[in-house]
Amino acid sequence: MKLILTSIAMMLTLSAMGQDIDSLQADTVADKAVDLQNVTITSRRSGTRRMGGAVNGVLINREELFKAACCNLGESFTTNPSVDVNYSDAATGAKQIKLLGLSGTYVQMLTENLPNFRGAAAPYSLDYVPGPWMNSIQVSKGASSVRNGYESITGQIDIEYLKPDNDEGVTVNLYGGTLGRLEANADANVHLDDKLSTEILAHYQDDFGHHDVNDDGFLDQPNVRQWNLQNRWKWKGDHYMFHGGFGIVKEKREGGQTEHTVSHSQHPTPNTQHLYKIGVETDRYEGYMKHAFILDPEHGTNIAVMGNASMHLLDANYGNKHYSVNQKNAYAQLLFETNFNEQHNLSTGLSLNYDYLTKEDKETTPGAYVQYTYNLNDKIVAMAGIRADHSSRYGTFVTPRFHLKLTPSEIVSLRLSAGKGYRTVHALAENNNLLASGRQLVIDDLEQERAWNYGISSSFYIPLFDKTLKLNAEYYHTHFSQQAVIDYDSNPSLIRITNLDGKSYSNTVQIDATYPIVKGLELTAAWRWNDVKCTYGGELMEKPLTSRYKGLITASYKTPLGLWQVDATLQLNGGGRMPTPVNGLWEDSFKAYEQVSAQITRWFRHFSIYIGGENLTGFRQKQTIINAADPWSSTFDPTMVWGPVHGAMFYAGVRINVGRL
Amino acid sequence: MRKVLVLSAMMLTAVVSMAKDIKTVVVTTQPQMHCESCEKKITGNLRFEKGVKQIECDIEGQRVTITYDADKTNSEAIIKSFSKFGYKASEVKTEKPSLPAK
Repeated sequence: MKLILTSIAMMLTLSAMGQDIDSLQADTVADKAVDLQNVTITSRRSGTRRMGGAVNGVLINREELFKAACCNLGESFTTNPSVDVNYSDAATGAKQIKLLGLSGTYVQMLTENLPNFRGAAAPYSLDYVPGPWMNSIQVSKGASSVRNGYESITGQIDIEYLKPDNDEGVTVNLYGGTLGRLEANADANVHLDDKLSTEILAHYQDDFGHHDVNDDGFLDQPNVRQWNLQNRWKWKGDHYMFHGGFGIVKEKREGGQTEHTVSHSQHPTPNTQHLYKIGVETDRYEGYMKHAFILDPEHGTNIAVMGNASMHLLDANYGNKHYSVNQKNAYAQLLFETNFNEQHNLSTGLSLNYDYLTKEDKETTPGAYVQYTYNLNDKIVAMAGIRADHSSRYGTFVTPRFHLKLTPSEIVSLRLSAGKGYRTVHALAENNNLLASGRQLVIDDLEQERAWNYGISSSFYIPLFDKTLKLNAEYYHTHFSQQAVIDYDSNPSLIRITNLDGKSYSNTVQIDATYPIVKGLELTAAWRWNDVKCTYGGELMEKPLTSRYKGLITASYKTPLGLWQVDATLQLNGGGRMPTPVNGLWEDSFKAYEQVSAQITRWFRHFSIYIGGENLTGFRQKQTIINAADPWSSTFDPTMVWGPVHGAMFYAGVRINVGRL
Repeated sequence: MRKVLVLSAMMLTAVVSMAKDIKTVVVTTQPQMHCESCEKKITGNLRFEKGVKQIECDIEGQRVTITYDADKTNSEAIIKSFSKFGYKASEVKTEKPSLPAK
């Protein structure tokens, strides 16, 4: 293993030393061009870009996504210091994003600016967006714009897919990993005339093989087979634009004990009639459309009508517990935007959201918003928004949000934000993977979640040795006035999802720096402290399974013409608290651990190949399933996961381009 | 002593073999470059041409400056290669001296 790490380090060093001509990075197009006495100096574009508006956000583009295999959305944040992705369940593989140290349910998920993956889709939603389909991901931290609703509390993640009107052609991506994963992706688009274009996005994955490396009798990761297909259309005229499409996801995941794993484990269970099996079948159908009418191009005046609808059928078995839901969601939005002049922008609109899970768990929420933005030559950008919504369950509520960006010079900018967010909890649907625990899952009559988020961030662009050092420092505070608390601590035989009775807050401080050490080699270093506490059974405690800090170093090198690319990432995840131990079955805390990943890509005119590895130091959480020897007991629990479930993994893949120049 | 001589000879050979005849050609394109995506198409394709060492696009000045190894290719071959991705290039005679090999 050391040999691999040393080789990667040597490659980075040698490659960096080997270049002799300044060059434009051909596949990372120039971002900044400065004319100096008829000579154009062009700098390499970073894989991430800070967004220009008042909201503190980062755009992760395709160049960044190519730094790792990025099989799906959940694996797209390896090189991102702000977003954590954990395995939230050792047996089902359900993954969760964490932003500002808080659960992914407080991050509003959007696809192309429309809310998506709600309720029952949440536990496995990170697997529903294949990496090769994505054009970019926008991560906004803190209170976001009121335009997309009231739900974002810690931020928004908006995924942009590849577009039908991109260059015509076909791209195929094939991937294989040593842990038994095969994947095929394809995107193909055609321009039917100069206005109309269409696109097909396809994905197939097969995680196979029965792996039980830690000999606990359970698969370390479930076997997953997924088909995913989308057809998208775009019509672009001078004053009208249409964008629409539909998609289907079919997924089957099987985890738990198998005859094979049990017979080879340290806890052989001869009675194969009583194996603890997990089976989750999902059928998801979704469609969306957007109509934009450009009334006055000079003032950016336009009206847009957009909406999406989905049906999410989930049939899950966790041991002898069964959960089945047919969730339906529909969302519609009418927007009007105009720039009165260069300084004043108005955005206003109406929305209607409908969620149906069961007769008892349904909600209709009409709402309206208005948002005003003042922009003084980009030196001062102030954005104030307010919305009012009426929930059929919780009545009328108001969401105010405010953002301010000050840019006194080219070197520094400062952002301030404050805003409120709300969320209706569909507790069983959103946490159905907790049924895998041997504890009884108890859900109280839950209130609507309410929280305030405040943030301050500053960005510095410091000229240093003819290059720019990008520095960023930020602090965010979130506090809940009402929250659905997942309580493992008060009662050892229960997981209780209950209303907050006391304090619940999160403080995060993050600093990050990016600097091109030598031409073609960019280094990013980041550190974040998380202080996340919540009241469990009357006692204010650290949120369990949450790292107290995270450190990240990424190195990315491209040869002058960008024909070779080498990327390496080191993550240091801090320790944290475990749920209160029962009968000494587990420790009361977990320690810090490291994660190393690396990838090498070679680009050719019509294809590229990549090889890489994840978790190269092979660190694993030793006990991913509590009391695996007795899966039918109340102390059995596969949901207490804080670290990697499996060891080092190597992969290779190829991207083939047909027709695209 | 002998070893030093052999080593010196090897280094000299290496240096001679590494000395490259680096030249530059400046072209304009048809259609013209309008945006980042035009630039991306040109640089993204030209980089795979044999002998190309460096590509600089100046959208405002409508110029593409290509630095190449004259032992491996020539300006005609580079200009001709633009047709592979839907462009036509014409050489611009410039007084700007070629970039020296580094």
